[in-house]
Amino acid sequence: MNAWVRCFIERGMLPGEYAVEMDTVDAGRISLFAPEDKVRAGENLMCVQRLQEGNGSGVLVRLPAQPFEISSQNVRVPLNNLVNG
Amino acid sequence: MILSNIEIQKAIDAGRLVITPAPQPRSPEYANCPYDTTAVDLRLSSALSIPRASPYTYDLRKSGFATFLARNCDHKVIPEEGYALESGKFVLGMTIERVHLPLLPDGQTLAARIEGKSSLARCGLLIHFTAPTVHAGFDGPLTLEMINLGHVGISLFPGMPVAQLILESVVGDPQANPSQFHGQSTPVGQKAND
Repeated sequence: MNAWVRCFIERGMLPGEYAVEMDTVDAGRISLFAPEDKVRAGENLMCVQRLQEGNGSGVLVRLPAQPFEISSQNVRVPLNNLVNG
Repeated sequence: MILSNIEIQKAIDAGRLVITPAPQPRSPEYANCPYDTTAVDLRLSSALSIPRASPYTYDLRKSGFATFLARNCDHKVIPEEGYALESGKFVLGMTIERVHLPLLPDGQTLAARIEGKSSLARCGLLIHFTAPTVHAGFDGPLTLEMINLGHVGISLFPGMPVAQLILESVVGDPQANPSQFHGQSTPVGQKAND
């Protein structure tokens, strides 16, 4: 199931992408270049795949691209940072 | 196993490979045919990203590195008369073509590698120097990490054949990630920017 996650979005290095920063539960603040069709730039939202239901340690999601700071596209994000629809 | 030009065209016709816009013409009878025997050429788009020279040192452990990179580059549109990539300079570019390698059952999936052109390599131009693999499931234009290792400038032009794509069959069916993002719709079922 897809969901939107709150993040900070800026213009990327190349057309068709955005630079995105977001907070995670287990990896701190991470950043990536996301394809433009996976973000709502004006609303600071990025599309992620929700992999598990939420629990006390957040919700496991898959990011649309590899972040720089960690070696996995799967991260836990705070539940209250997810926006559905 | 590397696909021949004929097999590449068959893969396009069967939807196992999507290149947009489609490389044309297909027949080697035409001088500008983008197909070689075992590859298809990709063209340079007009967009360049030029990292600024500064005294800082990259540290990928620091959070927000993507935004740091994006803030510290200059965006350039290559004019028709070309952009001279000076000796020793590094820029990011991208292909005009968007490449999609859909995940398919029954051993139909393809992967690819992007490689440079020998003619440009003789001038010292690298169009990628790491991570050439286009993984199964990928969908998008290909980013080019271009550096001029030669001793003189190299003119880059929009639309010039700058890279070649080598297609390979994948043995066995890949285990898809719980999400294979590429090609999937957003939560609202349409492009986010629509």
